[in-house]
Amino acid sequence: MASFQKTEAGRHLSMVVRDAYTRLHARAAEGAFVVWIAINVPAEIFAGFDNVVYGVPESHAAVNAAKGIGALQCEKAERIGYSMDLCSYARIDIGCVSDNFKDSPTFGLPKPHLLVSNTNNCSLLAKWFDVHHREMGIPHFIIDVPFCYAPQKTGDRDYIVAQFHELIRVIETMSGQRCDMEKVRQAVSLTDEGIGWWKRFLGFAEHRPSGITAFDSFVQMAPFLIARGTKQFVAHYRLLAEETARRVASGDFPVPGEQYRLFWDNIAPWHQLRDMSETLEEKGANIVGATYTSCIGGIEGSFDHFPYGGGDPLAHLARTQNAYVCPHGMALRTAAMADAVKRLNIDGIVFAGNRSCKPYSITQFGQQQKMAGVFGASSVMIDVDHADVRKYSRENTFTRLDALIENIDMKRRCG
Amino acid sequence: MDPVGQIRMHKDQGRTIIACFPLYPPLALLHSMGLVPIVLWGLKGHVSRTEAADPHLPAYTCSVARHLAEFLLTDARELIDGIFMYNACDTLRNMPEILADEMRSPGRNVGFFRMHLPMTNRDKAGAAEYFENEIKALVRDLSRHFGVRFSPERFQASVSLYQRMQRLAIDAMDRVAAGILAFSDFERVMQAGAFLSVEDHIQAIAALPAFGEGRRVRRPPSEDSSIGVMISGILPPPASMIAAVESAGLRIVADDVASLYRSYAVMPDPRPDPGEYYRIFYDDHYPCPTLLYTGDRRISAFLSRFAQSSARGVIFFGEKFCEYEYFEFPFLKKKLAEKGIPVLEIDVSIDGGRHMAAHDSRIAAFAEMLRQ
Repeated sequence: MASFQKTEAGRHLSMVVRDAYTRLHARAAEGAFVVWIAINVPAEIFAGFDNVVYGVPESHAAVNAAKGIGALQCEKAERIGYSMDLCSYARIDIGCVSDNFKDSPTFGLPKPHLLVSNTNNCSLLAKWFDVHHREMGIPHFIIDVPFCYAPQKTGDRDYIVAQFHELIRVIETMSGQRCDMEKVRQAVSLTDEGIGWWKRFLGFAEHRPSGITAFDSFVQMAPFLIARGTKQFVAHYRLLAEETARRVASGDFPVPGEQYRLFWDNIAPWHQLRDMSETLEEKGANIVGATYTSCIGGIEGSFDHFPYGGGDPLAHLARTQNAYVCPHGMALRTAAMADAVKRLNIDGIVFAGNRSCKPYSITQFGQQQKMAGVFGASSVMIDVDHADVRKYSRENTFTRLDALIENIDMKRRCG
Repeated sequence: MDPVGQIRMHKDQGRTIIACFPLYPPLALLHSMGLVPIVLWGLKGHVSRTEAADPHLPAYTCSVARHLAEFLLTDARELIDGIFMYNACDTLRNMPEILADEMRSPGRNVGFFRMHLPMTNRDKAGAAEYFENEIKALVRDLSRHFGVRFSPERFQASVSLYQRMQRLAIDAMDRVAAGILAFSDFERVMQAGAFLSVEDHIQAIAALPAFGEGRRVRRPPSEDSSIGVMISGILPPPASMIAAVESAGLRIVADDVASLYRSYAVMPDPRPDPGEYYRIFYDDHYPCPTLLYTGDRRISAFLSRFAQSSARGVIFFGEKFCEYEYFEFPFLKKKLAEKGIPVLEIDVSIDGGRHMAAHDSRIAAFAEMLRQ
């Protein structure tokens, strides 16, 4: 299976992840100010400080799930009263904290001085971080991002920028450090440069057969979560894009016998990446793209790169806060997906209803209807949970994926 | 209560109906602009199936959203003139687009109105100004769509009416706590209020048996030996569960329910400026898990409400899939346990109330424990 062979970028990824966690623990031990953030809190802000580091509980939870211990960590949270209906990332994280990260593959996260959540992906992040706020007595800063049904309004952007300034003031007060906006600007530029390479990497999905699988892109998201605003971030995505270009040029494709080009809608099923990828490849199917990874670096309603023009870095960060699918409505989601389906020559869409992410999943029935009605796209709805394997049924999933493939075949036969 | 019949009555009187998504819409503002605001919750008893909603919503959506969708897509479809919602929860914020296409029909122009309630720490720069602008925009949108005008005088009069309703509700709940009004009667009239005009709601509360001089006071079934409990949740439990609580020898003497006490507990005095009024209204609102910025006040408010009552235990009625509530239950339970207060947690699913055997046993066991 080509996509799971350790490529140069794959080895580099392991190093980036290892370095990020090692550096986080080491700097925390040396007295750095530690912030725990929700994934879409703009980490570039912390680059403005000399000695502020950040951990990302969601990313840590995804690592746990990918390593096969998601359910183990969930059960710890359930044993102390957290419902199985709650988001599995949250349950993994709460479970991890409950026994001081005993089984964590990254030795957990260092104890925070400040918690920063936001409401853009979901308001429940604030509830989740409140659990730590209450149990640990750590201050909790909520960044409130208004949901949008149409392109983000100027007033909303100004409101978000004001909150970023407030966050900086809070960290300055708590840490005794000053924020250097020039460093923030440099970090935003580095992220922007890295995203350019990321988009180039995703662009190889346009090739037939595709140069990548969505599973590759899921795995390669990690630096976006833990290393934004760094030179290493740029170096990694440049390496990834250039290596993929070489492989495509030499005819090395992850699914060489690609007959069905599929598109994925929702968070990655971290516990199933290998099985799903390999089983689909046997069927000649490749999930070549995903909303989850395509939205990175864009703005609401478009997967295109939204470049940083060198102006106010906080204004740019605020402008991109609604990009991540969940913070915008169905019309915008449908517009971006329709464009991707057309550009990537997609044969079928896999809507992965995700019990752990209602904000992502709740519009999927409507979107499925729109994609079928307006664009005639074949699609299927499957049930997954991004990190809790106990809520996943392999048989049901592949029965439905087989039905999708049959439907595509039927459409082809009928011209 | 027949919500459809009630809405038809408003329509027959030539009134304009604006259906509000839960939880805490700016009712007095809507009322002051000549609209009849109704709040789309408490539909569990009315909507028994969700066939129209199911093709649009996953099965793991809470009953509040599924019932609301069903109601708007079927019975209320031709009766509603406008829909209002704010960012009360992640599910509801996605609903307008899901419903808009389905509700569209020739000759019908159902207006969708929204506002964003800042969920950030309240002392943060920009939140107050941002919100006041949201209220201004809402007033502008309502005026434009319905051809109505805002009047500071009418707004203050509407706020006064809602305050009157609030005082009556608090008074009625005090009578429930004192054992001279059955909780089921109180709850029924409060839930009915979601579909009544505020004027009619005031009359309905005032007409409760416990308020009428010389009327026979309906007393709860087990008045002398009953043990007080406080209930909490997004919605009051279904009637069958209230009956199970009462027949187990328990009496509901306080509530921390979103559609009941949390909704009316705090109402500021009238002010001419709706932006200023609603800023204070939401800032000072009784804490609720959905109002993220009230998190730091939530536990103390809950414990204080309990301490001021004669309750000896707490029953959480968790609305299945309402994660806002479920994130808080463990910490609340821990804090209650530290004070030696017994707790029972019951999940209420979309068919809640129909399969009562297990709930009956758990409630009876809880009552037995409290008695010991």
